[in-house]
This record gives sequence, C-alpha cells and structure tokens, in this order.
Amino acid sequence: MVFLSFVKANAQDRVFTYTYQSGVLNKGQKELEIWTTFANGRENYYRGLDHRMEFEIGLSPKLQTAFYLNYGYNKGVIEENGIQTLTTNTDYSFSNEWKLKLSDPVANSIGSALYFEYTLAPAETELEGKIIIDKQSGKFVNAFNVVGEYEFGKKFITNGTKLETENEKELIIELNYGISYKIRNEFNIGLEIFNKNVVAGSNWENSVLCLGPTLSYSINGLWINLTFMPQITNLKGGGLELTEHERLQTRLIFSYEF
Amino acid sequence: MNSKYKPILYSIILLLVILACSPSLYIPTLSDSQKTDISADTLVLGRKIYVNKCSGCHNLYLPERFTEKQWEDIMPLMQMKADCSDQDIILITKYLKARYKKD
Repeated sequence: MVFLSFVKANAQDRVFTYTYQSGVLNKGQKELEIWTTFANGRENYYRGLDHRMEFEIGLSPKLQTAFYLNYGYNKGVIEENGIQTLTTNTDYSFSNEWKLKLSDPVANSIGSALYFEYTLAPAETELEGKIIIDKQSGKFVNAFNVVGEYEFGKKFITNGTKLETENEKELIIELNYGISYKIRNEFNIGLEIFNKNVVAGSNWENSVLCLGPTLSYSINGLWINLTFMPQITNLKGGGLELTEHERLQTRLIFSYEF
Repeated sequence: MNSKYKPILYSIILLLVILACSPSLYIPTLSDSQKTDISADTLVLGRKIYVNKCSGCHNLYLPERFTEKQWEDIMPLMQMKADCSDQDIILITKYLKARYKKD
C-alpha cells in the first residue's frame, strides 16, 4: 500500500518554473504559491530579487483565477552623462490572472489553455496573454508557451525644479519551452528555454535566449520547482545582452494546496 | 539565415513535434473489447467518465502505470475524492484494467 502515497491527487502537477502547463485547479481547490527570482550579472554591478505571493482558486473544472502580490528589490549601477550612480529600486504591484483549460495533455492529442493577466503598479500597467500547449507522454512532459506582454506607464524626468512625465510603451514577445522527465514518482528533472523579444516603439531592441536545468519535487499537495536560467546569447546582434537582462536568473517556486 | 527568423522557425518546429503526437491515454479498440470480453461501448464510456471525473484534480495516470491489484486499491480512495458513484467506478475500473501493468 506504500505506492498509494505516490498517487497524487493534487491539482496542477506543475514541473516547470518559467513555462506554464495547461492544468487548472478543480472547482473549490485552493493553492498558495511563493515565487522568488534572483537575478544578477548585468554590465555594471546588479542584483535583484523579485517575489510573488500567489493565491489560486479553481472556479470550475476548466477555469481558475489567481491573485498576486508582487514585490521587487534591486540594486545596480547606472551611468548617465559619464557619471555613475548606485541606485536601488523597490516595486510593489498587484496582479490578477485568469486561465481557461481547453484540452487535456493526456486524454487529448495536446493539452491547451488560454491565459490572461493584468498587473497594476503605481506608474505602470501590464497586460499579458499566453497560449499554452503541453503534452504528457509516458514519463515525459513537454510544454510550449507563446506570450505577449504590453506594458505602458509614465516615466518621471527632473527638469529644473519640476517633474515632467513621459509616456512609455513596451511590447514583449516571449517563447517558452520546457521538457521534463520523471526520474522517480516525486522527482522530475528537465530543461527550460525562453526567448524574450523586447520591442519599444517601432524598435526591436533585443532577443535574448536563455536555457537551463529545472528540478521539481512534489509530495502530498506540496511542490517545489527550481530553475537556473543562464543567458546563452542575444539572437539579435550576438553576444550577451547585459544592459537590460541578467547573465543568470534563478527561480524557486514552492506551493501548498489546502 | 537571418537571426531574427530563428525564434519563429524554432517555435514552428516545436509546435509540429507536439502536434504530431496522438493521445497518450488509449482509445478503446475492437481488440481491447475482444481481449477483455467487455463491450467497446462500455470501455469508451469508462474512458469518458475517467477523463471527466479525474482530470480536473490531477494529470491522468495511464492504465499501464499500475497493476490490476494496485488499481483496485486506488479506486476506493479516489471515489471519495472525486465524488464518483459506484457505477462510475465500475466503468472506470473496467477501462483501466483493460490495459493494466502486468505483474
């Protein structure tokens, strides 16, 4: 009867940290997720920590919603007019997501889901949509996401004794892919890839490719996923893009269903 | 090839690979029906109930994952969690046991 403890009845069976899968919580199921992303290694000294606390709830067998409290802190060196300054930033924001499952990754040829999220911050609003597809075949899980993110907000500029505002808009197109293999009932090991494209105005600024290993552990309603995501190259221009992106991101998510 | 087209190309290749796969969970055939002496309609109905009742809470387990005895042990536990009737459990068990893992 020991094997019964391995038969998971928890909701999402999530095995990635950057790449989403199509699973949703069933009606009335609730889950608390804590995210931490550590980023470092830009051109000048830079370290940043982003935290998200997420409360998910299933509304029907195919629909779930979630609420996030986001907190980010970073410290870095910026250079303007040849003068270097050490800056620290703290950001707070609120997000709300909606996820609709369209098909199942085991029962159908592919699993699929649609995802929408909005984020409100004091000086910025973000709208994000994802198309999620995944496939579970034997001990392998594959997942692929196409992500579109539109950010708009105000930038404050000092002009003498006055503060002036400037509208800022940015479009981010992201492709995520993850493959994972179940090595034991509680352990999955895999790889995640993401390609992030930043478009500001009509200018396609960069196309960063990151790839790294991912580990997942789950038992009795608890799961922990960890991914190391070093930057491999900037597909637009070659080399590494270290002005706006980090050399290495590490993300840990742990979750408990209650 | 211009590097700006690479992400698009990679995504199309990945999409085609994933789309090329068939369902992992078997769809009952005449041979399953003959092998188990259970009508194909019963097996199809068992699959439908299994997908509807179980996939909302967890990724579906393939029938080949567990032995006949293990499936018999699992079903009463899951019946309570998924609020299945006795008839549902009979049909799901018939479907799963048609391709259970050999001891």
